[in-house]
Amino acid sequence: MSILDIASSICLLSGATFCVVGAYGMLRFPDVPSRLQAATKPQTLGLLLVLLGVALQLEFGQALGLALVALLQIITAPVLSQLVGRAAYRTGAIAPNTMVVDELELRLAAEDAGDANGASDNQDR
Amino acid sequence: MSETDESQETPRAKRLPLVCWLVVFWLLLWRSLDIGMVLLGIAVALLVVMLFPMPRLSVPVVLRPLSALWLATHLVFELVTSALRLLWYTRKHARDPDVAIVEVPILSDVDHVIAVAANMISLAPGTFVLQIDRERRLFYVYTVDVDSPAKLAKARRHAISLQTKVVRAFAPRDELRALASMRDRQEEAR
Repeated sequence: MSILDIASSICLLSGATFCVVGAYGMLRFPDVPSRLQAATKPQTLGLLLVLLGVALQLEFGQALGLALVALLQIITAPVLSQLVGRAAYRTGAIAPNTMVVDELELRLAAEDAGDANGASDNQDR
Repeated sequence: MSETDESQETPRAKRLPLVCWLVVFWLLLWRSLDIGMVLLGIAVALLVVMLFPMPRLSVPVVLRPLSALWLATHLVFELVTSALRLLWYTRKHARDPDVAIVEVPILSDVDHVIAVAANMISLAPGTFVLQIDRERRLFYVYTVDVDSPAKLAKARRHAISLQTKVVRAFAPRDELRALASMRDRQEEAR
């Protein structure tokens, strides 16, 4: 076993561990947005580590293809969490007893009370 | 969408970087440097650019390599700490988490800078951008693990410091200056 093998097995194992952590969080958290946290962050890191571990075993040209996977993951994961999170917020899928402060709700409430203008410009976002 | 003009497409010459990137992307996907593959890639890239014209960016994309590199290293750091912090938090408080939605001012007025900043915040420990108010330049950031006002303020500061790094890497020069003067004012206030 070379140093490269050891390094890549460390990456693969820790990557897999982070993915398990993500799954564990998914099970434990109570509502959609917090589960989203658990699903996106440890899992992104886990995937990157697994890719790194695999890349160490491959030729340079082949490994570059994996860099593409990593790039797309980093770009798309936050977009996904924003869209799903917003949908969850609008459909009321946030456990209310966990919310300490909700400045978005304060703002929306203020708009409802005040000008209808501001509320409608908020809707198409 | 204040900076894009949908009626005007990007002029031909300006599309060249996009075509180059698409060719590189294609070659990475196929993992080959065959001359045939390159030609096919160029053909596909041109087709994509012609079929899906992008709106014109009125503000040019700036890239400061050193700041961008710093941003990339910081991104890795954020990813690792956010995964670890979430692991710790899951173990202790997952059944009854303390969450908040915090209003954070957006430091830039350039669409692509805002997009990168929102992505960075969404990759940081325990936060993601739930809503973007482009007109009033506000992010609404969902945050986990905020059981005290101090932690709330910390989350806000963190989102702002991340944005600062993005602005340093990608924003046009006048916004950089505005950022510096804002910093100075804050220092004076203290």
